[in-house]
Amino acid sequence: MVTGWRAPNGLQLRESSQATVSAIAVQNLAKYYEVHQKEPGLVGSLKSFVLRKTYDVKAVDDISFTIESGELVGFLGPNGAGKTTTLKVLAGLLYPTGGEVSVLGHTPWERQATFQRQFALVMGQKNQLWWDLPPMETFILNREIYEVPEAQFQETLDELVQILELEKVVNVQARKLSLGERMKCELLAALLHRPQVLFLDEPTIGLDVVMQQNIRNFVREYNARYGATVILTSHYMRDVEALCDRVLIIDHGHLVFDGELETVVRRYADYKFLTVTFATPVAEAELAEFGAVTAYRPRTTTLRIARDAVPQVSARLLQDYPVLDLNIVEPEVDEVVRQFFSGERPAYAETVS
Amino acid sequence: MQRYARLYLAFAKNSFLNALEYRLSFTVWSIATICYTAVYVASIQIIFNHVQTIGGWRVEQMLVLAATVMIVDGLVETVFGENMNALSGLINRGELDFVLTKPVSARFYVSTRRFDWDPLVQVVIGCGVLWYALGQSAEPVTWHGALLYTALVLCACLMAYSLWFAVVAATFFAGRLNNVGYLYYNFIEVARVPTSVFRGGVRLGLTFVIPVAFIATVPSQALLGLLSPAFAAAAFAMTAGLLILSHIFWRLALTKYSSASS
Repeated sequence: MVTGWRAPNGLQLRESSQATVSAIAVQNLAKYYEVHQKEPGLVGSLKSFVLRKTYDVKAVDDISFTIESGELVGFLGPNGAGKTTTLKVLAGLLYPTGGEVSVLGHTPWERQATFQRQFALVMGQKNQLWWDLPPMETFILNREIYEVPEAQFQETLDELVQILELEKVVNVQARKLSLGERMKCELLAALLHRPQVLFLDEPTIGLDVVMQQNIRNFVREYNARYGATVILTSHYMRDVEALCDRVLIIDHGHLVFDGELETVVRRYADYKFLTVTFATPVAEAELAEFGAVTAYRPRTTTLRIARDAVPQVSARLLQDYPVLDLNIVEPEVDEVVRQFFSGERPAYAETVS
Repeated sequence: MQRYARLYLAFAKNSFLNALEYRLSFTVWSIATICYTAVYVASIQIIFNHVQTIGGWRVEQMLVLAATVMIVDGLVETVFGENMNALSGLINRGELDFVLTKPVSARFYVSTRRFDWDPLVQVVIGCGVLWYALGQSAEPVTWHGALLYTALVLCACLMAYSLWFAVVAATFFAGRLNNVGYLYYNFIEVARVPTSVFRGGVRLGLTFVIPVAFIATVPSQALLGLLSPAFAAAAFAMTAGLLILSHIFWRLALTKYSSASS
């Protein structure tokens, strides 16, 4: 895997001998927001009202990367890192402060119809379904908007309804659907025109585990079936883990890591959390022998255990203690990312930022 | 063009289906509009018990003006009203995202997505009032007067929409402008009196700065055969100008879209 490699001149070259067009090429992208600052209290507010001090927040600052056609890439980073801002620039919603972006050969913020027909944006926290109507009506409207030929529309619809198991749902008022059903319909609505590029911003937020799994399977299937390029941002480690080979880690507007997920997880999340509930109280000192105690109560304790040691530790706990319940939890992405920044960076990350 | 006509039909259909989900709404609206019209027409009659003319307009002419306001306002609210009221929220909550990613004119989409069937009642009743008022009038209506009237009513709708749209689009710059859309309703209130009651600078301002005169006074004059051709020409020019200016403003405002965080 070549990390953060940049073409010396022009964006659309690959490091192979034959030049192919990248699906997405981003060069020195910057997006600053102007915000104003105010001292606390009434006087501060009045001052700010009359004489507003503004300054720029660098939401995205000098980010460069390329994504090849058919790749499934995850954007990771803490809240406010610039993931969503980057995604919105790629989708043409925001005008960047600087830099060059090419998606499928188009400049996104020019919002050319030929470009817009080829991608879709799905946001877990915003919906496009008509609230008081069955999702089917939104689908039909999107058919008109994207000018999908009737035969292709019907074929795609049938296929997606089947994969997403939405047979009983598409004709029920959107506001009466569960969050999971609605999310699946959002996906369907976004994919009816068979976009080649798919931007997914927190598509599984608020969903239960089973539904998260469904959405993940579907995204993988869509990627494989149509060869679509997918960018995913998520707070759930499992989403990224299950779907993306390659991740871009963004923090404070900078790209700090570009490479295989395994490298990040192995290096910076080489542990899991073990939450154990005992029938009788167990002393903290005793448990500390197994690993770092992160939360202690006499009957319920959370331990941080090296990834490799989890099976043995679990076995020993189950054998030696009256265990009522045992839970193994992956660290959150945010935690991994925090870890990533608190630890020393790998040498090759320097080539990126 | 044909594509947009199809799209508009699809919008109207969805809005109609939407309206059917709330059957009571239409009935309540109709009753409210009938009551409102009755009070409004009665209040004009009462005023004319004490005066002969208002700004040179006789009672039947005032009723033509009243009917015209109802028709223009009804049409604007039917086609654009819900959309304008929703637009500020779309911008503020960042829901414009879905509109801006679609291969369709964003202005067309946010302006026409919701077709509100309820205020159509007002248009129908307005036409009724107009019919009654013209029956009271001594001078007959000419064909070309009626034609010009129709054209000027459409111009009035487009002018009112352009202004409403531009005012709401200012939300892009401010982030939030509470109830700024309500300026439209104040604007329509001013249109209920003939512009001739104002004098000098105010009248000029209400004609060429905030074109209230073109909403009802000018179309009514056309129907009553009282309009000078220069004003008719001015109405068409103002309509084109406002549509273009509001579009330039919208394009500029879009670059300020910050898409609320998600």
